[in-house]
Amino acid sequence: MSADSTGRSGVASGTKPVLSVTDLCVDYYTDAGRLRACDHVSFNLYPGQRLGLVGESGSGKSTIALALMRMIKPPGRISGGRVMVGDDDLTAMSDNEMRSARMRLIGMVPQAAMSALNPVIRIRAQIQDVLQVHEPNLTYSQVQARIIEVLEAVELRPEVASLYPHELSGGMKQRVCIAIAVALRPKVIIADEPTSALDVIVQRQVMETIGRLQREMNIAVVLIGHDMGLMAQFVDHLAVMYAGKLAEIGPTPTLFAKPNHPYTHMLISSLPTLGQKGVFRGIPGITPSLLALPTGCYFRTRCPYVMDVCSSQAPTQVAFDGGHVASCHLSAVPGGLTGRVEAERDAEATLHSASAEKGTGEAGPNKTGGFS
Amino acid sequence: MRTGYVVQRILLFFAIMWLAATINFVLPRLATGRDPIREQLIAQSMRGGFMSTSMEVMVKEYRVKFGLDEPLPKQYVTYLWNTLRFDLGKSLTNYPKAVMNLIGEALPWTLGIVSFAIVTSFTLGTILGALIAWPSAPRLLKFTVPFLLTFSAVPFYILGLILIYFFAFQLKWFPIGGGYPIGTVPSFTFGFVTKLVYHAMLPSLSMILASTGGWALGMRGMMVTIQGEDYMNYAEAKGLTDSRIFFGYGVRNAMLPQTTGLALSLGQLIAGAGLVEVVFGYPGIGSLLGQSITQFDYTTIYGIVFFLIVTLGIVLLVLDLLYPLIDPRINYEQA
Repeated sequence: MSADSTGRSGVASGTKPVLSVTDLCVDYYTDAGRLRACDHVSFNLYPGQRLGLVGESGSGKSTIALALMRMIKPPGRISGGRVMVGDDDLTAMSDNEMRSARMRLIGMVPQAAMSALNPVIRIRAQIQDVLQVHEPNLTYSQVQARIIEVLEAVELRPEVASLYPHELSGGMKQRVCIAIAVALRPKVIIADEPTSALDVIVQRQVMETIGRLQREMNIAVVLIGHDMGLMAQFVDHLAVMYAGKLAEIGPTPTLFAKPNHPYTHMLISSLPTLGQKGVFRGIPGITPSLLALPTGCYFRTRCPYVMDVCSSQAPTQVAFDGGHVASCHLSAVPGGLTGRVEAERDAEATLHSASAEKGTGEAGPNKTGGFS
Repeated sequence: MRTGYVVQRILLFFAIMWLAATINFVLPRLATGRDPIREQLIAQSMRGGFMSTSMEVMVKEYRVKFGLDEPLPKQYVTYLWNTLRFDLGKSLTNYPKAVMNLIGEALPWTLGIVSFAIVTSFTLGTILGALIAWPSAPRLLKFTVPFLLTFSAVPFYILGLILIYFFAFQLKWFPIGGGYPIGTVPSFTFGFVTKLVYHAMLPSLSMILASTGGWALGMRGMMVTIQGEDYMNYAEAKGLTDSRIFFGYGVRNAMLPQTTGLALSLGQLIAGAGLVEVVFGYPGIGSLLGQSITQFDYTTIYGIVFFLIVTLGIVLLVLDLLYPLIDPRINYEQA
């Protein structure tokens, strides 16, 4: 297993990546100036892999999703980088070629399934649309058979085809969207918070459907979201975004066990655990405005382990074992993030026992800004 | 759609018609101080040059003829019964011609130019408005907006007068007025029909120019809103062609409020058409109404008003029943 210098995660098997993103940059030109919503993002995705893309709101997750579909609208623009799906370079395609690549090469499950379907036409026509535009040679009966087939693939009854979107539940609508996304068996599917508007039971069912189809069709999935719990269960690789940059990327178990970026570490420790009742550790502060980014490392304003070098120099991406890449100055420090975390924990334990002796009970406010 | 709703809606239509007929019956009887029969008779006899001494006898005679001597409830019942049989009474000015016949003579003219103008302006405006809002449409179209705004702000009849002045009076490209050349007899020959179209050109043009802008601006607004909808984004993500997204997703959805707008503005359109007819001396319902007003032909005025209410009621009924076809979310089911 290795990751090259551009900060790619991947598996060592000699297979070619099915989705290869290199130095992808997306700029938005606003009245207040240019802002970079996606800053030199690179990653590889191999057939059958599931990559999770997490980050706070405004960190550039959905921008990446739109950029991969090449659907960034003015005033935004893909200002650099390359997106390859198999051997096809999406960034080099003409508009019409790109149109025909959508859903055929790279599918999408939308964020707002509730409103992603045209309210005035039947489900049949909405699936038919995508089949006919990409495979014009299909006969009418073939199209109808395919519609039934994809509906059954997402565990919907064939009768759903003759219903209108408002007659379906939220979960069913999302299933229809998944059916549309897999109808042409694309190589890659981008699922942009596919379960954001669904309750947890339906969320689980929908994710199971996506997972099953992904296995059956050997599709690579990019799952965008901020639900770390869902990510931990679903994806095998995780990419953490911060202020348009890829903070860390690597196999999910490694990332959870030994994060190499303070932000990832804090994201993981913000997850509630069964042992620690009543204490919720958030990350203090908010994402910096993309128009007024701090110098050096973008995360330094919120980082508990900030060093002098952080404000003067932007961190470069450092590769660790197993396709694990992080961009943090701590990687160059002996002991790295783990060392710092352990040191802090020890200090906290000392403080805790000290305050316990004084009889105050509670631990004092810690650097990570815990609040209950 | 439930049949129960259809029945309910049709019953509502008749209820509205009954209400309209009742108001039509009550209003002239509330207008005291002027007696149309007497005024008409005086006007007639003045034309003859002398005042008849037996005026009162004649007035009384005519009141009997029009059934005005009967007690009100009986008059009301007779009136309702007659209305139901499309008998709107006899014209005062053109006595003994039936109001229904007068309307029948004028109707084809109005129907011709109004339906042509509405269909053309609605279609043209809707397509134009949708294109103006569409990013990949020719940019040149955006320059039409100021013109559309200007024209939509000018009332029909003023636009009509301007058109008459320039195209009929100055340039003499079109006739100044009338439905057909003076001295010709209406017939269904090719020559006459071309003359008809020639005469109908300016009146319909004034209506089309004046109302296209409104439709275009309304549609443009709707299209801009619709483009922010998630299903438009998803349609693009589906890789659909631009034209399919435009018609099947954009226009299809933006049409819904546009159609409602059409239903709501029909009344205004008909009223506006009346004024256009007066300006152009076009022999339609509008001109008939104008004449009747100047000649105090009460029965005709009330007949026309009632007729317009019925027409509007029918159009709205049809639109209401057709609406579920264009928007499946409206199915009139009881929740």
